[in-house]
Amino acid sequence: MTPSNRLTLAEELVLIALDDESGSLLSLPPFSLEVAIAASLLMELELAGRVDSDEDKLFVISPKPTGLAILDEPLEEIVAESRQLPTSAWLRRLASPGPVLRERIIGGLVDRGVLRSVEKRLLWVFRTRVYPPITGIEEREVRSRIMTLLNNDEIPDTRDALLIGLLRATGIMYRLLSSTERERLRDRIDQIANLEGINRALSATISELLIELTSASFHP
Amino acid sequence: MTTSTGCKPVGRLDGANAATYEKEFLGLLVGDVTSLNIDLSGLDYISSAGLRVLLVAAKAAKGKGGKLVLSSPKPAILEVLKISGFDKIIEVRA
Repeated sequence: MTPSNRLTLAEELVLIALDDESGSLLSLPPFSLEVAIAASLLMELELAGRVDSDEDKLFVISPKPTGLAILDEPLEEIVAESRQLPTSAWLRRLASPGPVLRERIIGGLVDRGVLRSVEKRLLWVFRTRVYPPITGIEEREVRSRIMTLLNNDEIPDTRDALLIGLLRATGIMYRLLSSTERERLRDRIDQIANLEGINRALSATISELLIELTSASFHP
Repeated sequence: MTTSTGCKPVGRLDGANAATYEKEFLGLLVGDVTSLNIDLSGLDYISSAGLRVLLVAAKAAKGKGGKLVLSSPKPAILEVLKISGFDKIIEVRA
């Protein structure tokens, strides 16, 4: 794919998070997909030279809009914030729209002709929508790229390192692999994902949210 | 034949100057030059964008059959290189 029609990180993430057969989203830990989508937006803003980050904070490099509403909305929010917040704080804040963000990404993939939208009935009563791939080429390309990278010792491209971090944090990565592969590739996955600070912040944020959720369910 | 060259960024390496440094590093890896030694002793700060530039240079050098070496980082920079695991894939000479 050329850069102009290349899928965004959020699109690649959602594509892999959809079950090929059913077109439904895989069952993932609570909040993990929403927070990972928020991370993917920050990643795109970093790659577009709009924001940058370090271990302590995320900060604006250029407030110039990218021309993509889904990126410019969080960029405006970051620019408007008077304080420099840590990446983890932005992940929580940008994930707050919840499923709305996810639906926007899926809608974009339908518009681009990657997925089709199909209405289904559950128990003959409840209507639900599923999104099977039209050809599946895009998802196969993403999976192939990831598996090739994991199975060699090449230095990764930034986008691939970021995507591997998204898949690790959501748990999707380990569902793509057999138990033998999981064991064999665990260190390589961590090596690649940890190269990016935003990946480390993402995994930590999802872990914290799950602990908070567990704690809240024991102490309502 | 493997030949090497070097450079020394000073001050900050972040999103404000990452593109300039990337151009400089890749510009040094031309012709017979396959390896690059970046002297980090003058670097006070590195961000995520700065780290990505080092990764791009490392990938380019490896693609030519050479390597990237990062030398003499200050303690704060060395810590960042260790946290991110850069020291596992790029040679760092403290």
